[in-house]
Parts: sequence; structure tokens; C-alpha cells
Amino acid sequence: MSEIKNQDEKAVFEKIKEDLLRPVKTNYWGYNALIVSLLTLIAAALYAYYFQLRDGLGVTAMTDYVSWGIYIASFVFFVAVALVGMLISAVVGLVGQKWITPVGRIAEMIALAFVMMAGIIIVVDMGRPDRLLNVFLHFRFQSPIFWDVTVVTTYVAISTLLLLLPMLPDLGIMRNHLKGEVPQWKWMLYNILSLGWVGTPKQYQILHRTLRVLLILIIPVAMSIHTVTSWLSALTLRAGWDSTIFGPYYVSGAFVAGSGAVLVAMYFIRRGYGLQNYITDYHFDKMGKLMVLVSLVYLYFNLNEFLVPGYKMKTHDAIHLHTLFSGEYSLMFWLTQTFGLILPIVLGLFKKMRKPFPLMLIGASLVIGAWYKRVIIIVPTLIHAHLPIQNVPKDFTEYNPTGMEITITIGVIATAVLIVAILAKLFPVVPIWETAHEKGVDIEKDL
Amino acid sequence: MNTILKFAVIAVFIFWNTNVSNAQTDWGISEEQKSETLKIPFDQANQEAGEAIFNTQCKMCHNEMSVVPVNTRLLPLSPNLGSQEIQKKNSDGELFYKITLGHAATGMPPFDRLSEDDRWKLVTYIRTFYPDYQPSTSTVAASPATEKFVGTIKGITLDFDTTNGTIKAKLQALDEMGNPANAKNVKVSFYVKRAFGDFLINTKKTDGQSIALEQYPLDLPADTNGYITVIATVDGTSITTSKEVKFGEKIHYKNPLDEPSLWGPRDNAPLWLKLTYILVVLGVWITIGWAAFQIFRIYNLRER
Repeated sequence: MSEIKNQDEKAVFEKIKEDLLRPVKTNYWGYNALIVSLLTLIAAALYAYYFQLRDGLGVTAMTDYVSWGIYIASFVFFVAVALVGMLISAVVGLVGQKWITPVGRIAEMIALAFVMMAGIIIVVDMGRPDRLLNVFLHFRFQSPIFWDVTVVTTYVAISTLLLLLPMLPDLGIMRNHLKGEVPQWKWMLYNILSLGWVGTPKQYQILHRTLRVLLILIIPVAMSIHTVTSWLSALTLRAGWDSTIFGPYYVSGAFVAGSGAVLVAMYFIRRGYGLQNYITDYHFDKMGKLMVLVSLVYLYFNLNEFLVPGYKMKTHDAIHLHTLFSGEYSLMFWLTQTFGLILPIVLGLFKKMRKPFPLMLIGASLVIGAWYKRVIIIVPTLIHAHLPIQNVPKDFTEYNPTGMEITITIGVIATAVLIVAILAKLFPVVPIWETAHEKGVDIEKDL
Repeated sequence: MNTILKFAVIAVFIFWNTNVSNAQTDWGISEEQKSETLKIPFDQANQEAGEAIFNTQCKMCHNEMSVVPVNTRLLPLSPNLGSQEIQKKNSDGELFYKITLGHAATGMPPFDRLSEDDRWKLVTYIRTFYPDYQPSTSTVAASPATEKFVGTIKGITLDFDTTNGTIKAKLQALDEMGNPANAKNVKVSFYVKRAFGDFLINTKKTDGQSIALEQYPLDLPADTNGYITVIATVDGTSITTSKEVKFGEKIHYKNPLDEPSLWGPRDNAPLWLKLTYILVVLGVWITIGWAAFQIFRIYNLRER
């Protein structure tokens, strides 16, 4: 009896291992095409960045008044998307939701890639990146920019650990089973990263305890990374930024952007790698529900952020709000609110819409909406300075990003996608050991 | 119909009310007070004393007599006291009690801190701009009439006695024949330079030695080095001089950036902020370090 059960277990495990490790071993032309196109975008961005380095920030559309353009908007966007790692693994995971097993690692990969790019785009926004070190040498404790540097760095560290640590058992499996099936350098990489994982009870015990501590720790760190990012704006008196709810407004908006990104990534990974048995409709349905939940929270904050000042219409707020509601930015504003918030909520309520393909479209709409929302938060406020804008060229009173700026921004976004793509190819996106564990296989013996 | 009537009554009532309140401000002065007349002689000494008080207490709002006040930072504008209409409408008693009681709605402060005598002196001075005035008291000067200096004033010099806090202005003058002479009874105005103009402290007459003396008000703030600039001008001429002196109270300028604050420079970060930052960052990074050490422990458990 026990013999049969063992054989059964072995077969199940072999199947899981085979399915989940196939993407690591196989070459996909679609994947290669993606990498090539991303590299092309990045090369174009590097070329544009060369001009920006040579000629300074004058090649962008940023001026005395609009000194934060799509770079900083993208920075906020990157930080926002990166928060999804914390949402899925920590918040949803710690309350005991089991369905996150195949989603958690994708979320962590997105988190790590996007938070790294958040750091990069700040350097891109610097006119003199050679003076980057001054941020650390001549910091002020009182400056939210310094707090932001601190939390972004901390989040990178924790995200790296949260990606690596749960992968240790998988790396052990890969080291044991992939020798000869992948190029030597790849195997060496797995060998080093697996840290000699053999799956002894002691190792599992240490792993579980460390993970639990880190998953709790990442909640306040992730909350503070986006709260501090919101404070970069909210600690000023400018209309549109001078808001007490900017912290939770940003955090809830981040969850929306992050869930969108995860939905898109889940869809393409499932299709590309043929993981229909592992990332199932059930997981999409759950992710869809989570997306609706966080979007509802975000809608609530939007209501407060716009209705409360909109009811009072204080002089400067009124100028700002009219720009958004009916003025220059109204088209962008209403499209963003519709496609980035209201439609996803309405559609997400229907079970038929919580299928992989519709959810991928909704996710893409959320991500694009999230990026434009950041532009709406950053730019219109800067156009309406408190002091009169006088004796300046006409183009100082508006902001239309230049081709250079757009190329560079797209390049940085492409880099984030590239990192996710590389991570998702190098390592199994669905945890082998946790999947096996859920199917009742005692993999500790196998290692 | 009834409703229309009601509205009409209310409208008339409101109109009548606003009209009344616009027409005159109630200063709360009784008829008895209004009928009071001048209590001091209407003579030159009192008029000049009144002018000195006017210059330091009233002029900042009411402007020069007979000149319409223009200080738009003070609204409603103070009335032009030289106006014949105002002079005619107000009895001596009304002027006196308006000065004494003030009126909050018009912005006129009560000047009951001035002595009664000073307030009557002000009335005396104000009345010198009313040709039709019929003084109730003697117009005869208590002191012998002052003789006017005839000649040319050539210059003015300033001297200070810092121990007594006196300012001494000496005039250089020539008589009608062109010989040096003592200019007696010439009015000299003393000013102190302030940020937005010259502040009149007093007007004095020269004595037999062409010298006008003035006590410096030592409570006036000086600059950060303790210096103030005194200006002396011979009234009615362009002859003026100014000199710096160490009078008054040195200003101790407190730079808010020197104290720990959220807006100050890095070296003045508040202690609570530094402590919070350092403790939180240390706490988080010690935990991260601990997690990294756990990786090391896992590594130590590998198969050797």
C-alpha cells in the first residue's frame, strides 16, 4: 500500500517538476522576439540618454515651472507597481489565502524589477547624475527625498530576499535535476544560489521562520515607501498635492496598478509557458476579485481626494480642479478615471469577465491608466504655481514631453519588463516545492 | 398681497436701518459731554504742544492736517481733520471725547492713555485749522510772545550725549547783515530712520545758542549693531542732517534657522526626527541582516 502511494507521489512530483521546469530548459521564439524588441527599445533609450547627458535636461520639456515631468510620474508609477509584491505575498498570504502559490513569485519578480527601475529613473531625472553621491553625503534628515532614498533601498533589499528565499528549495531541485540539461553557466548559477539546499528539517525550519519575519517586515516598509513617495508632493502647499490623505491615496492606487500588472504577467506567462494546469481560471478569478477590492478602496480615496476640495473650491484648488474636470487635462483625467478605475470595477463584478483574457485586458487598462494617473497627479499641479508666471516664454506655461523624454521613459519601462522576463525565464515562475506540497507530495525525501 | 406687504415692510425697515447706520456713527458721547468747552487756554504754547502730540500719536493715520489721508492699509480711511465740515460739526467736547473713547468700528483707538491735559492740547491744535473758531477760553499767550528769527539758516549739525541720551542740534545762521548770528526760536524736527520711512520723535525750538535739545526715546529698537540714524530738519526748509549713534536697544535678530526645525539646514535637524529615523532604519536593517545571516545558516547545513 505504502509502496503504491510512494510511486504515485513520485509520478505526481515528476509531472510537476517536468511542467514547471520546461520553460527554463526550452527556447521559445516568442520569448526571444520579446527580448530583442525590449533590447531595441532600451538601445534607443540609451542613445537618447546620451544626448541628455551631453546637453543636459534641456532636451526634455521640463522647465522652471514644470520641473517634474514624466520621469517623476514614472517613478511614482514604478514604486506603485512594486508594491504588489507586498500585497500578494504578505497581506494576502499572511491571512492564509492558499491561492497565491502560483502568483506570489510573479508578484515578487515584478516588485523587484519595478522598484529597481524606480531608483534608475530618479538618476535619469537628475541633470547631473555624476553628483548622485551627494544625495548620501549631504543629506538632510528633514528631507522626504532622503527618506525616499532610504525606503527604496530597503525595499530592494527585502524584495531580493523575498524572491530568493522561497526559491531555495526550487534551486535545490534544479541543481539536482538540471545538470547537463541546461548550459553549464546556468547550472553553476543555480548551484551557487541554491546555497547547498538539501531540504533538511532544520533548513526548512530556518526558512519558514525567516520568511515569516520578512513577510511581516515588508508590510510597514512597503507602506512607508509609497507613503513617503506621496509626501514628496503632499508636504508642499501646492493645490492638488496639499492633501492629508495622499499617503493612503497613493498606497491604494499602488495596489490597483500592481494587480493590473500581475494580471497581465499571469496571462502571458500562462500562455507562453503552457501552464494552464498551474495558473488556472480559479487563480484568475481570485486575482480578479482582489483587483475589484483594491480598486473599490482606491475609488473611495479618489472620491475624497476630488469631492472634498471640489465642494469647497478654494481659489487655487478651483483652478487646479477645473483644469482636471473641464480644462486642459480633462480628456486625460476622465479617460484615466474611466478606464483605470470605474470600468475595471464594473466589469470585474461579473463572473464572465473574471476569465484570463478579459482580465488581461482589464489589467493592461489598469496599468496604462495608472501611468497616466501619475502624470495627472504630478504635472497639472506644477503648471499652476502659487506665484504668477510672468515674463517667461510661452512654452514654460505648459508641458508636452519631448521625443527624447518619451524614448528614455519607454526604455526604462522596457528595462523593467526585461528584468521580469529574464527572471521569469531563469527561474520557475510557479514554485515547484509549494505546488508539490499542496498536492500532497513529501518532496523533502526527493532532495 | 399680504406677503408682498410683509416684504415691503421688511425692505423699508432694512433700508431705513442701513441708512441710519451709514449716516452717522454712534460714538456714545452724551449731550452733556458734547457741551463741554475747551479747558485750557487757546494759546501758542498749548497749540505747539498739541502739534507735537499730534505728530507722534495721530499723524500715522490722519496724515498732515488738511491733507486727505491716503494710507490704504488702514481701512476705513481716517477723516481729514482739517476739513471745515468736520470742524464745524464737532464741538470741543465731541472732539475731546472722540479722542478719549475712540470707536472700534472706525478703527479709531481710545487715547485715554494720554493725560486729559494732552488731549485738550490736541483739541487746541486741531482748532488752529478752523478760522471760524470761537474759543471759550483766553487766547492770550500765557508766556510772552516769542520773537521770530529773522535771517538765513545755513546749516545744522548733530551732537549726541550718549550718557544722558540727549540729541543736540546746532544751527549755523546769518543775520540780515550777513554776520553769524544765533538763531533763536527756530523749529527743528527730530526723526529716527525706520525701515519704511522717517519716524518723527519730536519738534523742538532752538534756544539762545541756536541749540535744540531732544531726549532720545531709549526704548526704540536700533539695528543689530545697536546703531540708529537720527535726522534733524529745520522746519519749513530743506536744511537737514543725519548721523548714526549708539542709542536705543540693540536688536537681537533671532534666525529661526538656528534652531532645530523641519525646514532648517541639516545640522539643525530636530533630535526626535534623527532618533526616529536612526532607530527605525537600524531596526529594519538589523532584521534584514538577521535574515541574511539565516541564509548563511542554511548554507552551513549543506551536504559536505
